[in-house]
Amino acid sequence: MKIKQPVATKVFNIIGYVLITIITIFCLLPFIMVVSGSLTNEEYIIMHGYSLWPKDFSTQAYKTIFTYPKQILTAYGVTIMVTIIGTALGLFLISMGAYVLNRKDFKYRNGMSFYIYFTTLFGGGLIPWYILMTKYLHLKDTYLVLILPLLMTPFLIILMRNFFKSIPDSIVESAKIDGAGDFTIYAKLIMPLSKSALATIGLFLALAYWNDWFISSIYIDTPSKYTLQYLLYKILQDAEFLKSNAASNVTSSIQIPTETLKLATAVVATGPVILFYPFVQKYFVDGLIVGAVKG
Amino acid sequence: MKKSIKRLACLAVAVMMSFTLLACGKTEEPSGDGGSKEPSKLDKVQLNVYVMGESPKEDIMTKFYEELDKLTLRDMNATVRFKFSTWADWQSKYNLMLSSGEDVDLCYSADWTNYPTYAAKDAFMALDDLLPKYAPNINKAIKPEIWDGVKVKGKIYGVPNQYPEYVQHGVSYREDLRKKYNCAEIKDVDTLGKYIETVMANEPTMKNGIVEPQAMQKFFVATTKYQYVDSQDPYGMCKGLVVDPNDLTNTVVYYGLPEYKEMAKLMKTWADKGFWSKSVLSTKEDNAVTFESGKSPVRFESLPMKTKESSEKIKLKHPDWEVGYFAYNEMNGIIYPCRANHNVMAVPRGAKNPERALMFLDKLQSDQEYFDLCTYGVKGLNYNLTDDGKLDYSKIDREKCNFDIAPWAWRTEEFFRKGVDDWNKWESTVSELKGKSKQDPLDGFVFDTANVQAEVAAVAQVEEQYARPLESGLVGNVDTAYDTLMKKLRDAGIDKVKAEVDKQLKEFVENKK
Repeated sequence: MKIKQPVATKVFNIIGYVLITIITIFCLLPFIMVVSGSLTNEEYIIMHGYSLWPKDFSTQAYKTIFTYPKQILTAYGVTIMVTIIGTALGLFLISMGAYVLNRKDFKYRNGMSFYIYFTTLFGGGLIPWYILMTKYLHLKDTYLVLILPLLMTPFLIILMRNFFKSIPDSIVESAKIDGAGDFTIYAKLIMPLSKSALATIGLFLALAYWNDWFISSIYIDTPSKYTLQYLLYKILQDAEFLKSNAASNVTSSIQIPTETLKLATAVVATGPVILFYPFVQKYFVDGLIVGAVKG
Repeated sequence: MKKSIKRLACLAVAVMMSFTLLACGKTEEPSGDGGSKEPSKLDKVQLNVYVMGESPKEDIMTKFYEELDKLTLRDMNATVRFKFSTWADWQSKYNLMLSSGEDVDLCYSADWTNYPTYAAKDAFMALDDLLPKYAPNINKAIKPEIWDGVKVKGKIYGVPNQYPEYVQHGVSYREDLRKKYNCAEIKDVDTLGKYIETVMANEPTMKNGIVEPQAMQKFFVATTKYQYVDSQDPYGMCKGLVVDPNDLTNTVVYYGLPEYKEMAKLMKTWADKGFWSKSVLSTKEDNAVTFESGKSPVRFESLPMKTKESSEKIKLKHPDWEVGYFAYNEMNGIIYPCRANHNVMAVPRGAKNPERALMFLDKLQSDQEYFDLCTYGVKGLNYNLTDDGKLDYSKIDREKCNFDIAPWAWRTEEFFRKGVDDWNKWESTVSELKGKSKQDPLDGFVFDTANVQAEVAAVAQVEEQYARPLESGLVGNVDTAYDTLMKKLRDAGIDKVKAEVDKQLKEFVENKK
């Protein structure tokens, strides 16, 4: 038997659907233009601008990218490797750190928590950080420098710790009574219970690694170690610089990437991510509230 | 007791591990003659040279280094490697390179990379004593007036190039269209306007084709008898100030000139006629691309070099088009080669081998072999030569084999090669400009904004908000817009900036005598 919905609910639903459809279209439009622009002839775009449907179809931009695919493929490789290693290592370290900070019998936990939190408030700045990384740790132009800085984000440590608070202490105590060591408790009891938290933190980490370009920008010199986002950013910035005022007296023979080339690079770089996202979306949405205060 | 021993043990292990990490960092002691003046010819070192821009492809660089090593190991027992800033965030990276004391022996610098500021802060080594000993050829070849141009606080911090570049701002235009529609030769703003109007009327695809805002800014000062105080023209620090070359200590706020208001009115008529679209202030289109593809009849922001590049690109796609160039300063006759500190090579303070670096630089500017290799690349791979020594790229795939390591700082006129495909007007334009050029009386002047930083920022903001629309002719009423602009400039403190610039100019002129 169908339950009849009151009129107010129906109206609300209709308004809701219409509004959200409009917003969705606004979100989709730029992306459609990017894809259609990348498949259009270069001259056509300069003369007539962008359009929703490629009026003068041409795959020239993609041909250019894939004639020298080495750069983009290497960048993909670097980014994927850094993301996987960084996320795995980061999850391991962050969860261990958060677990320790949560254990009530750890005497210094308040001090340590404050110490970690303090670094989010104050920092040395760009130049001291650079000097530390290059002069003392000798990390310039290595793969390690792409992984290390993002490994232990204080925000994520605290998020994880808050989640662990929701696991009752009695579990830990009962394990101790049975004679389990600290690491066993961590690995065999706490970890299986925190699957959703791990998924969330893992996603945050993966996104941070995937999207980062700044570290590549200042520390990496060899083109074969560039990350994907930095490569994209660089292509755009090179073109921007040569148009800007500072370059009014600079001439350079680098080929300024054409409009379609920029669009095609954007599609190639973000395409796989967009295709991948619907599958993990479920975990992401669920996990957003995982660190929130519960009753 | 057991628990505290356990804790102490953990702490001890942690401390020991951190010490090993620190120790790892310290084992690499810098070897080499950091302070000695006599470079031992047996000491093999690696020189690092920092240049702007993008690195050419890796395989090209490998071949380049092979050839370069042959030369440098033979002459000075050193290997030279180049580091590239890339254009993304180049200012922070350049700053980081200098302030963190990175291992760089020779780096590019210029007025637009804040050479005077860095030199004043002692980021570079003073080269006065090293030059005669280790770079004798350069020392002799460059005239004392040019050396004066790179002096900061009385010392030389950078080595200029030997290529008087004529970076006269001018307009590139389509010579073939001008001839087709019988427009008068472009000699001033009126003929320029007529040319654009005629061409636009006859080529409907070019309507609203111009994508450069505030066109007036490019040529206004050239229609007066004044010159910009700052070497970077309107983009520099001496905002809004120009000066009569014959009366150097009295700057003038060019916004206040009656000619400014008149030209703003002219710009409004241009905008109304449809030279550019109403959204020109926010467009991100590239003026080079629009000009080269035929969307725009002119390129207001152009230099002889840029026109040359455009012409070479156009030749590939539209060989029947012709490119013309008109230097704005032909209108008032104030033509100077670019200032000495426009392209210099400096030695950072922390350089380990400054003597060897200067020897290398000396070779670059005095030996054709070095010059060719580092400017054009490996012969046969990156370029070819015709029998009379001209550059020939006809058999070279320029996409794959492009070689450009930003050689601006060591360009030397006597070694500079012409190309077979050069823009046909290049030589005539350059020699014409050279013939009319004089020595810039303000060469070497650097404005220190320490006392008026807030005012300079405020004036820049006012310019952005009120002058730009006025100069693009996108205002309703020119008179009211102009009055607002002047009032806002006064409020922002432009008079204070002017007074400060006048004071510093006076000192500069006194010291020169």
